[in-house]
Amino acid sequence: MAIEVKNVSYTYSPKSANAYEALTNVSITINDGDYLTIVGQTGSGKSTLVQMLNGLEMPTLGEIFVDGVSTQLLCKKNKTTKELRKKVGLVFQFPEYQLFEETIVKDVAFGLINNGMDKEQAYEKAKEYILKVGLNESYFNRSPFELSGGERRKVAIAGILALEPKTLVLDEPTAGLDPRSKKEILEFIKSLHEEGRTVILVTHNMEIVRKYANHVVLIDGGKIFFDGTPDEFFLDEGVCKIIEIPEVISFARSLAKKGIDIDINRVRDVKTLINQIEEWRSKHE
Amino acid sequence: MSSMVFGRYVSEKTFVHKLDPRTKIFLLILFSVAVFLHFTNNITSLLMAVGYLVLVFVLMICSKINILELFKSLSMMWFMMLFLLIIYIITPVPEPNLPVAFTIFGKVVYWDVFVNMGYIIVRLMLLISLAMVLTSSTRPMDMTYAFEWYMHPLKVIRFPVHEIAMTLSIALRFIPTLLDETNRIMKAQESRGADFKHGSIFKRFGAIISLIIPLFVSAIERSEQLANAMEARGYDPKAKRSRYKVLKGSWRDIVAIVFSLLIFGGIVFLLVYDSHVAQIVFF
Ligand SMILES: Nc1ncnc2c1ncn2[C@@H]1O[C@H](COP(=O)(O)OP(=O)(O)O)[C@@H](O)[C@H]1O
Ligand SMILES: [Mg+2]
Repeated sequence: MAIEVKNVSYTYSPKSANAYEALTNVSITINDGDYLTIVGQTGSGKSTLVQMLNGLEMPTLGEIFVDGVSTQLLCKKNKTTKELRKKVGLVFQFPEYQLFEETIVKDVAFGLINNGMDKEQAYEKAKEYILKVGLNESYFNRSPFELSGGERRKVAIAGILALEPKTLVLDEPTAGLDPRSKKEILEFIKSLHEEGRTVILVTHNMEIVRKYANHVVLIDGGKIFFDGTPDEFFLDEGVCKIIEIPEVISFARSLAKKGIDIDINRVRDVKTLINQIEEWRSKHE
Repeated sequence: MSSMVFGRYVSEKTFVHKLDPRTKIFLLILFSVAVFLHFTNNITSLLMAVGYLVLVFVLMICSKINILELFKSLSMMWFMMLFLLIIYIITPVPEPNLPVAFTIFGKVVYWDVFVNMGYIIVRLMLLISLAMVLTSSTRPMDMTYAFEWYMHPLKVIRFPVHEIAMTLSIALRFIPTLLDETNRIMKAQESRGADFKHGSIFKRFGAIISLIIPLFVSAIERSEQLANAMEARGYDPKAKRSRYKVLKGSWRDIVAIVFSLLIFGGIVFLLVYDSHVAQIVFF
């Protein structure tokens, strides 16, 4: 297994008057090659959890193991913090606010250079990844500050992806992006997943859960409410009360209730639903 | 992060918290003056210092302020103490027949150096604690209202009192926001391999640049948005405005002012009397 979260609790400003427990006794096992989506309402503790995965925050209670080694142990020896960050790459929520270099290429190369790559090589790799997130050559030497919000987001994501971490963690990477950019980025992440990387993605978008994930965790009020596969997820009675499930799924469900036999587990999107309806029709004609 | 800020406002319901901010500011100024009054007699000075310390500690306990926090802030002052010590040692002493502590690098060090430094440190500590009592018992917004009230007479000479108070209150409002932002950007850059704590000065400088630039950009963007939002709602700095919160004194303020004036009067009396006594003793 790649990452194991074991009985983790996290408290903001502990011991002070405004101590706040954001996570309570959370345990998750994330396997190598998983595409995990973490869902839950705003303020449920998703970002907090995700920041502990690469050692930016330490659990107040419990432990997190990355490849069998506890993050606390890794971060105590300061050299290995970098090793951990190389293994687990984290794209922050609203990463567009972290850009600072004069040109986009330099900004994307920042992480690579920090990790000891030499400049020429880093710039080459940066260019490669800028193209991969769906920006073209004309962007290379522009200033990140003259880009739109969505374009900045792409640059920031490229900055982490270029580090080629084995496990990729993205905190709401597509929130507020236009549909086309959303799709480009998601498809690129999917291709990385197919290369064998572990992907952990925080999202509110149930379509992403349905289409890409093989593992989903629902956090509610700092506790794990659900942990399982997307198929189980969309059939779970409790989940439906917290989360708004995609229209296709609820539509398929109503059809199933009306006596059209549809296998909900196989419904990914509109297309797969239509296929099933057609199958059903051809059977009945 | 914001919990680390020194003297941050803590909501309580103590006597001190309920005082009018104008009263508190007035009393802060009054006692700051008192702290710096100079007694000629060393023993009285010492007694007074002890008296002030007791008074301030009582005040801090009354207003439920964490005294530990004060010591934390003092631990940050050691550099200044060192600096003071060096200045004291290298400045020539007017009376060469003072008791000598030791000689270092051929320079004579008098006991007086340490006595003087001790006084400065005690005074600074008193000032810091008083200021801390003010800031942790008064909402920043109330403080700016009080400032505005005190600056009111300056309006006569066309001093932009209201504008300055408004700027001040906006600045105060955004301190916690900027701290959160700093924290966030730091973490974001750390996950890109920036290292703020280890490595050579050169490397750390690079890391700090990666923090400061985004911070400035977001602060500027924020201020632009705020200015636009204010203008869109028809904000006019010159207009006469009413207040949601009107400052109002109460019996507590009268009690506090009378009590403090009595103490201050006592101190001034002691000062006059003390120099009188000193004259009798020495001449
Ligand atoms: N720096 C902080 N200090 C105190 N409380 C925080 C801090 N960051 C987040 N929180 C609180 O912790 C809870 C979880 O936050 P977060 O993990 O950001 O939620 P999510 O990403 O699921 O929206 C929220 O209630 C939030 O108010
Ligand atoms: Mg979040």
